[in-house]
Amino acid sequence: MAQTTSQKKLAFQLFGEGKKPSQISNRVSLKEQTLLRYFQEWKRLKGKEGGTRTKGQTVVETAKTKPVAGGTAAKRSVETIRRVSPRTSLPDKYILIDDTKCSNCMFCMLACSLAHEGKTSLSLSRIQMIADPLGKFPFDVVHKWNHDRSATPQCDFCVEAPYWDGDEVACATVCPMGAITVTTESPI
Amino acid sequence: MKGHTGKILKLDLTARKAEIIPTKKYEQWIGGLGMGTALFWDEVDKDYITDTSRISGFEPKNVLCIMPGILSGTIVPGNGRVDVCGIAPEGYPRPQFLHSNFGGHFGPMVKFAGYDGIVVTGKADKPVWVDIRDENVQIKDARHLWGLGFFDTEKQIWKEIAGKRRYGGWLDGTTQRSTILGIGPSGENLGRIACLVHGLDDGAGLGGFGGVFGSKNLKAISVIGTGSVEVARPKELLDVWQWAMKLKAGKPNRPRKGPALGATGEPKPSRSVSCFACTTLACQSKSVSSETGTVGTIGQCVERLFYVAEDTARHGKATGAEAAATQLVQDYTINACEAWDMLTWLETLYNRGLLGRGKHIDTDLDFTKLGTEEFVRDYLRKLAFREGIGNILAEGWARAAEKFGVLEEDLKSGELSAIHWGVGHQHWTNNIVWAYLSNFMARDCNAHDVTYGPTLDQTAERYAELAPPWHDPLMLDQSQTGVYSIHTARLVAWDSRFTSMKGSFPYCDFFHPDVFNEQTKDGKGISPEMEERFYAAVTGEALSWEKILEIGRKMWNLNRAILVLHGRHRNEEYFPPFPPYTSYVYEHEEGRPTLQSGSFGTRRDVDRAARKSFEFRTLPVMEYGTYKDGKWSYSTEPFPLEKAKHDEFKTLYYNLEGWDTQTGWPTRTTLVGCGLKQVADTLEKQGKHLKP
Repeated sequence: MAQTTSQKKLAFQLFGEGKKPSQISNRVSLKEQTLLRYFQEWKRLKGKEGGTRTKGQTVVETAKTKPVAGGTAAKRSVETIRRVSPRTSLPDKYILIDDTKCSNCMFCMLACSLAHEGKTSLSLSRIQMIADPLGKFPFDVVHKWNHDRSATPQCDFCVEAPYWDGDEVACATVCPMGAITVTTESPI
Repeated sequence: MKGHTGKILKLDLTARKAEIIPTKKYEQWIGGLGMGTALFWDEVDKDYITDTSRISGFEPKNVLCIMPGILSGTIVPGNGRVDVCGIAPEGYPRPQFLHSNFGGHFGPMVKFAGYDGIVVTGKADKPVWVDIRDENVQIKDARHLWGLGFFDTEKQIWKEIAGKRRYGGWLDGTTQRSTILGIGPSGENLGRIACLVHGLDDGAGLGGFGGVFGSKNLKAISVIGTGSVEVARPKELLDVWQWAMKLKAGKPNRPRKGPALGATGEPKPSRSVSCFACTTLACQSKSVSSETGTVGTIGQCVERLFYVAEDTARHGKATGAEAAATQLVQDYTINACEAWDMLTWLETLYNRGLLGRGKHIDTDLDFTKLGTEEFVRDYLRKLAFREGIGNILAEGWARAAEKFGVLEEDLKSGELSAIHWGVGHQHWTNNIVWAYLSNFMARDCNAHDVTYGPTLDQTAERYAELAPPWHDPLMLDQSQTGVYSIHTARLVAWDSRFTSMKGSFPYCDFFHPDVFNEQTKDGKGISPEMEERFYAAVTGEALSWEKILEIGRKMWNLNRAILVLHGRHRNEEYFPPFPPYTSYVYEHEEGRPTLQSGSFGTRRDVDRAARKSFEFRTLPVMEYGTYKDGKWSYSTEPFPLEKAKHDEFKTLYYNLEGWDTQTGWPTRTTLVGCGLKQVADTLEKQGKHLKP
């Protein structure tokens, strides 16, 4: 029992250093599921310690660029999100979404909810791709990103996603159309 | 079990109430087609489905199961399919139990709403639509929707759900519009050729289930789900996903510059539209706008193709008439396979002087205008609203041929290739297995499970690997002796089991099984490892390939038991399955392909090839493998299927499945061995005396 407690402490300490469960699995002798549970617990405690959870600063800018090649009325909407997490120091990043490339497969939304919540759901996804099956291209798919924070949690670039240990954010990784990209340079 | 939501929604339209059936009892059937077949068996009145030559399928007693699967709503690639099963009015010579499936986003939304499937029974006294928003299910008045095309129905329902609010943001816990499955005029007018359509172009075409919706006074089912699908091992699932996609999907796709098939005019920017959780295929394409100025054309399957040949034959290129046809066939919810096959057949009747004003088949459908938009509008309107000749054609082409008195003649000549139980989609196959399997079920099987790899040796080896318990390396032998051998019987048995399970997970037919794959080092596909790993990650339980095929066998036997109740017998399992009629399949004349490269072709295909109007319509001249003296070689030599040998083959196959060789019915031992003792008892009770 004592060992478990110390392992838990060790795990919490490592989480505090900004490590993710997958990065410390070889340093603690805990089962993967247990480690993930501790991580959730740690996040909850962390939130309480800081009193009211401070929302990250978010800069949302939308830029309409010139029509895509060969397009008539096609416009490419580029929305950039820049945020600084209250807990973790993040590099400045931008997620670019090209709605014209989206095929509405919803992999991004599924990966987001799965990586963060451990279950698949459209409503629990931070990224929201919204399609009108009867709409005209290119205006038949639009995206929303954390506009209504009461509805979904905020994007954290998967830094605190317990079920994700990829190098890149989950949504961009899983997009089969190459419609989501992450960049460190401002596209505007 | 993880992956399941635990509840199945049963809609009793007669009583206008929604009930919950616990999923627990049906978990052994995995989901989708398997669970749907089991639910149908439990819910339907057995007297009603015994000898279906007396019924139409439009009775309130018909039970329609609309089933996503255990993987639906998860991130597993290709899970967007939904299986629909019930008594299909389109079946000929009698309505039979069959299934049809469609893609899009409907199935996952049903799961997010908290249901493993929807069962529809009874008949509403007035037109209704069903509004499902999570646990809140309401059966609403649809008199104002009745008579509308499907697209207008969708728009109206979305409007009613949103009220004064606008789409594009959060509405009641979701940003998504409701997913709608419904019918247009063809279904309302009880067309046996009516399909169920969802979204813009996803549809369950075969069987005439649109007519079943119409017979139940059910216009549409709309679903919004804000919940989630629980997964046993989320991290593992994401890992397996990345492993599978890396090997399966290859490079990301890019938006196409215009519809790839049946292109109208010059290339335009377009969107590749996919089903839920589709990998890179995105087999549909949406263009900016169609020539007809409607919502844009979409779809790359039969609905997109069925009028292209006529349009191009008349004008030298596609002019937009085919685009209008695509729109209309979906808005009216007509099975495009029927619309297509029927049109080419009607054309031959016209050319033979049998059809036209004042002719044997008197109609004002003007074939001098074939290829124009005006013609196709007239044709489809007649089919959908049962106007004039449309009243007979809406019964399906086999029944129409019977009514016109040309069924026998046209089956024999091959003008009417209704060899798979009269249901639309009687197209080419790439293997004799396709034809046999269709014959043993109640429709064209449409299962693309047998594909050829780089060499025949590799192909033979790979299928041997995939097909326990036999692991037979000669299953691919399509020689003149091979097609009647036990090896082919094994491949048919394997395909029946696998394809049953594919509909149960569900997996898209385009992706599974992954037999060969250029992305892997040895060129081998990643089945069955992929299926096993995905299932384990989602449910937390192991399901081996052997077990998957074993459950598939159980499903195949339950399906067979239902067909036996309908009146299925060995005596009718021929091409076509309506004795005493015979068909071109068993004959071989010069210039008419019979069994060429393992495929059935018709005279119409030859005509098309001659016209060179449309390459996709022609019979693919594929090579098939033969095994002789210890060596594999390719052959393209056509040969006829011999009726007597086909009969002997059936004996081999029935023995392999443990079915009575006299009747083609499962024996009691077989059913009990599959855990279907109650099914055996029910068959006995209904007067079907099984061999022990």
